[in-house]
Amino acid sequence: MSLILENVWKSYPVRGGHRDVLRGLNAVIERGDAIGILGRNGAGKSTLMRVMAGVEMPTRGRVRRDMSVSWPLGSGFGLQASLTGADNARFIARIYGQDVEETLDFVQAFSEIGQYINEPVKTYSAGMMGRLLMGLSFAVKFDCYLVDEIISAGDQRFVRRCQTMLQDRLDNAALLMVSHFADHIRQYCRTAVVLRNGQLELYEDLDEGIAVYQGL
Amino acid sequence: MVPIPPARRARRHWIIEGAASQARVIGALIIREIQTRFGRDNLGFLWLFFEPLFLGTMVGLMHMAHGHGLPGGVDPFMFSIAGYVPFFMFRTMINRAGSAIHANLTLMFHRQVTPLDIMISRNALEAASVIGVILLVLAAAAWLAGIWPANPSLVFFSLILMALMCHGLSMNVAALVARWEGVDRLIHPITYLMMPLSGAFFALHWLSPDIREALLWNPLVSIHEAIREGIFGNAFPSYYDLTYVGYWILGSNMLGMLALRTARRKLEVL
Repeated sequence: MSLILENVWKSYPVRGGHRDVLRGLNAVIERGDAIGILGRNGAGKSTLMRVMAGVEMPTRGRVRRDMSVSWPLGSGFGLQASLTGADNARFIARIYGQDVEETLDFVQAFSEIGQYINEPVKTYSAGMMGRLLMGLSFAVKFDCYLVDEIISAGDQRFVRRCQTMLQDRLDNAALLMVSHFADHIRQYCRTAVVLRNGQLELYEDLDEGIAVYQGL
Repeated sequence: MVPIPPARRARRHWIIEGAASQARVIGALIIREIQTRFGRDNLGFLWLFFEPLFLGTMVGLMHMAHGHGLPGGVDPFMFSIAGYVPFFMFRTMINRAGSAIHANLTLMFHRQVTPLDIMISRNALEAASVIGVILLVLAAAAWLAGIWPANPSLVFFSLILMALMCHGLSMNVAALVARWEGVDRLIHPITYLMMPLSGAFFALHWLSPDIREALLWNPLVSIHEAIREGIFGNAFPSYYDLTYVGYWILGSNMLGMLALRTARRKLEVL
């Protein structure tokens, strides 16, 4: 049960050639890993998330998934603005093969947006959208969670619920979290990886990794 | 008090799991397509049928108002609808193919949603609406005017072939546009120019044999002829080759699926 990156390269065409964002990455992620991914803006963290999630294909190399991997959570995508909140929940339930009614009940109970669950998402406030997105993210039990900048939408109570939920899940799942905030990384992760020049540098000691990142 | 999420379902053999998963995704996409295109208020998805029905009726009335009867003593209104509505299927499927992938880009954040699923769900909806409208028109004609189609199963079969043919072509268009955006500009003029070339609005019997042979290279012509034979029977002879259409269907679908896979590898989702 693992997520394996084998010699993964990802390049994007730019004017006058191409730019290698990820260069020959090799990694094995197992259940129970809690890894923080650090790097400067533009280092390729979101690209890495997308390649791991299967949203984009590597230019060279392979990604093998023997466990269910979430879509890149928290990056703001996953909500369809023209559908209602309830329809969004049902859509997620259907494509991940879960019971539709139970998923809807869970999302409703978790995001606590009341009547608005039956209104189009485009009418929501930013906070409501964030809470709905978190609700959708937790509605499916993944083996590996990819979190791209955790959303801290909602009041204290909601943030605490998210934390409880995440802690619960992490007993059985892997976590890869991208964040620029050292406290988030310290709270959820046990090891750190710095993405620099398209390469991954692993630091078993979390503090060392964070120090290296802050020195970049 | 944190709510408990639903339990994971048990996984069966990978072949069953794969097919079931794809069916689920296509089903979810169809429902989503209906919800985004037509909303949940008013008539909702019934609008899907209204557009081809309305346009077909208007075109039919226009031709009827023209006055002149058609060779073979065939009702001009029916002739018109029998040509326009299936052509409408071709035109909408191909015109909308170019924007299909871009419009659904964020859905591909979920790995199991592939361009093939997107095309299948969109095309299935279009095909269902056109086939529904034709059945409605034939039923209305039979009930109100006593005009019964000569061979309803031929009509239905030809419509299915039209749907498969247009699906194959649309996949190729979608893949081309994903690679070269400029191609999208060409598609609208091309479908417009296909109006005279697709045999929708005239019977091959009225033309000289040379022109007939030339036009029959276009698979759409065979389909329209077959639909007309199914509705009008022996009023006038029809010329078509459904095996030829079958080859086109196989070729375009295979090529289309291959093209979509290639397009997916290069796709930058945002």
